[in-house]
Amino acid sequence: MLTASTGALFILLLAALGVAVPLILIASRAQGARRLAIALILTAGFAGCVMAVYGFLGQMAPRLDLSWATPFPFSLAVDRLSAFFLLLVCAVTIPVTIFAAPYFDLHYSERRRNWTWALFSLFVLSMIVVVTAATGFAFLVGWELMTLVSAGLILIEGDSTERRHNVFIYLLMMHVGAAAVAACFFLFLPYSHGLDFGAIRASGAGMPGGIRAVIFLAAFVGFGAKAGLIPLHLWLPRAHPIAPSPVSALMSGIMLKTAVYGFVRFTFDFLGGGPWWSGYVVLVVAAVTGLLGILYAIAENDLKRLLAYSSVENIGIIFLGLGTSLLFLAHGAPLGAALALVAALFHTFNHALFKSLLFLGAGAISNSTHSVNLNELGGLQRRMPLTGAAVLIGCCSIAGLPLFNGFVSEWLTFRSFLAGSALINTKAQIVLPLMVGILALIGGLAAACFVKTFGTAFLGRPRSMGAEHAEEAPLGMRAGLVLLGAGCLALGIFPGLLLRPLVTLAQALLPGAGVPEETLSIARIIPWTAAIVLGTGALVALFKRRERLARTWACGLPGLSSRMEYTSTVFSKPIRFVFARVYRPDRKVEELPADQPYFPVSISYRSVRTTSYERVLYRPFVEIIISLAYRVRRLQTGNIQVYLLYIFLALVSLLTFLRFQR
Amino acid sequence: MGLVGIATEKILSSFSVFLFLTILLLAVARRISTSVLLFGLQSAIIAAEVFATAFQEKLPEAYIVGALVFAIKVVAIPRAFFLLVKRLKTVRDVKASTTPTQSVFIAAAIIYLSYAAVHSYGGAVHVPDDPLAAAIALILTGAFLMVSRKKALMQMLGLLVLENGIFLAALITTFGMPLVIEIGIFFDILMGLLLMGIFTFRISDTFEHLDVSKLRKLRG
Repeated sequence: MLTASTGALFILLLAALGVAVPLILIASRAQGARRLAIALILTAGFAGCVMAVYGFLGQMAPRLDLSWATPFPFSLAVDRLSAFFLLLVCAVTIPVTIFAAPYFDLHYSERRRNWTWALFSLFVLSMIVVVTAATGFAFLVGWELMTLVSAGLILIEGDSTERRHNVFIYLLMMHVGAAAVAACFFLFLPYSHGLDFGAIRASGAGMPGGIRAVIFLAAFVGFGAKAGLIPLHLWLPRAHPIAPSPVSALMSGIMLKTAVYGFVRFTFDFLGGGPWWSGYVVLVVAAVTGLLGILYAIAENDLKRLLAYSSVENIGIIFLGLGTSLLFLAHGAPLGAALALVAALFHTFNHALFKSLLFLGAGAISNSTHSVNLNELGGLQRRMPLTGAAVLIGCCSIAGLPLFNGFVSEWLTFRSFLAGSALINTKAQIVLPLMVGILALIGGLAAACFVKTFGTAFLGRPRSMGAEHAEEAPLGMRAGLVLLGAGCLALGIFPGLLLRPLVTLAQALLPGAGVPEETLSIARIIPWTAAIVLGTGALVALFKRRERLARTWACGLPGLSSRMEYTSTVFSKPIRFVFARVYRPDRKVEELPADQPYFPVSISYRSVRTTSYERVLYRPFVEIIISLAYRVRRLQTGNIQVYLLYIFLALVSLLTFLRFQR
Repeated sequence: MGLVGIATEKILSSFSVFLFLTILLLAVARRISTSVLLFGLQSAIIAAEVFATAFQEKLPEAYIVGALVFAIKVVAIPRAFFLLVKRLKTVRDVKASTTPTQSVFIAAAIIYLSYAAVHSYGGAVHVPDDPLAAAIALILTGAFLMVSRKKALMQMLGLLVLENGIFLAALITTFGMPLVIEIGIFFDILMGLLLMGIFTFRISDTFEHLDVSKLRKLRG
């Protein structure tokens, strides 16, 4: 009783914050009110963290029923799965808020800043509602609010035609996705007596296979659109780069994860595993998503677009884990399913940490240099040492280097693939080991991608005036970055902190699953490895001989300039060359002036990726709809009598139907 | 019983046939004034039917409704129409888009369809087939008139015929609606007529014709 009431108190606190913050901001323009609001957001984040940790450890399951105040059943509850994602939301929100405080101050005028903060807090609130919803309506309300508020946050930065176009595409795809999600819920209705999650869960087992398959597909499409699975990722590289950096961090770090939450909730919790082919479908889509995502990321020179595509890749890795888990489940091997699910969820958390870290890093860079084009950066490590260190941690984590958190989850994913060889006499026995190769390729490309990112942005010499005169980010921004970096390191060295409760969570979702041995072993080994590495490092540093400093050889030229450096474009060239079939680049070399081919003043090179989902997948679809619309428009003659005729014919046909009905 | 009782029985047994007659005649009527006359006749038949029902079922309220029908639909509305026709000085022709032969065939098809639609319901609601079929036929005919006649005045008339049908259907299936609602409906009709009258005046003022098929500038 006591725990339940404290839980309700917590949720009430969160809800009150969400409502209070915009009110304060709109009512008052005073500086103090905003500070108070920021403090409130931080408090809410902290309270959410505390509640999530207790919920995650299974010590309490808070529940809040607001049905008396709403026209439909609306209640929030925190079970283990919700608690995990609530922890993710709140843990990322705190550093992002700390970062955003100076960032919004520097970038926005007074009025816009208030709006931004108000939407920011609403955005966080909506995500909390999504992950803690306990009824279908609460989930859908949070889900829609999340989309709309994030679109508002993108539009606050400006409203050029291009931006509006991008936001339009974002909203369009999100609405299609939301329609699929709503369909998932309503498909349960004939079998369940309400849209309460408990009722849905109870009805899940007794449903006919066909409906289960439809629900699974709708959930995959609906949540896949939000998560950015290829080919539904179209909005992602458009919407993320144009949002303010802290908002990108929230969108990429948390919002995509709510889709993972929804998918896990539906397929594992409600349906208890999809149809037998579901694992294969998810695996194939996820493999394509991961590979293409990282390939596109490498080719990008805009840091934020690069990060957005890398989010696509990481979503691919997460869904690889989920697909493997479904596969194991379909073949009746809950232990392997638990391992893969733990890997996927752990990667979800890790990606939230390092991707928001990297997006915040991009924000700090753009704040100091006014550019996120990698070809205009360089040499930032010396000018922004702390930012550089934090971004380096993020890059190492995302590339999956040992001792960083990305390694643990990718390792577990690998182990779950290898465990697939135990599924004798099934297709999975062949498919899963194949995935090892694909994940290895993704990992290698990701490493290359982030070597390029860090190398061109932070090492070498500055390539532009902006980069040359860059200064270290303000205190608040550094604090946000350091917090996230510390989180990445902590989870990388002590993965057991999160792995043990995650295993319990997986056991709750997958009845009959034991404790996967792999999770225990990695949690045991990594801290010792870290200690050995650190010890060796310290020894080497102690007994190191003095360094010898010398000038870099410049092929006999008098000096080195930044024009001689590898640019981002050049760095990715070999990979773009090898994978030319994927990119199908449109290359163009322009030499000026054109009439003197042997003495060019300037040479510019352009290489554009031409693989376009719009042209191949979306354009025909859109054209069909438009041509249909034109055809329908012919009904609209403008003649009153024709309209009357439609009514008349409808009436007559209804009567005829009535006649021949029986 | 006596004379009134005999008249009542005759009316109740034969008014459907008369209504079908007016429908067929409306289909071939070429002049607006003829159509208005036919509408008045039709309303008079319905008013008689209301009185007959009132007498047979001993419903004092229904007498008021009957009187209202008579006053509004038999006297007031046709008079207003004649006034409009006179004032507008327009061509007398209804400007049908179907030939009279086609119209008759369509009207016949409408009557057949009404019977066909009613047939399956007659037993279920304890309502005789003929009056209900007549009501549905009236509704469809009103709609058909609105569709096929180009004059704005005929559209108003079509609407009124349609309303007659609805009124009749309500009367047959439920012995009429409560008096208050009935009065409200009459008020609606009057207001609608007033508005449409004003609009036809505006149309003829602005465009110097009353042919709705030429009013197509508004489409998007």
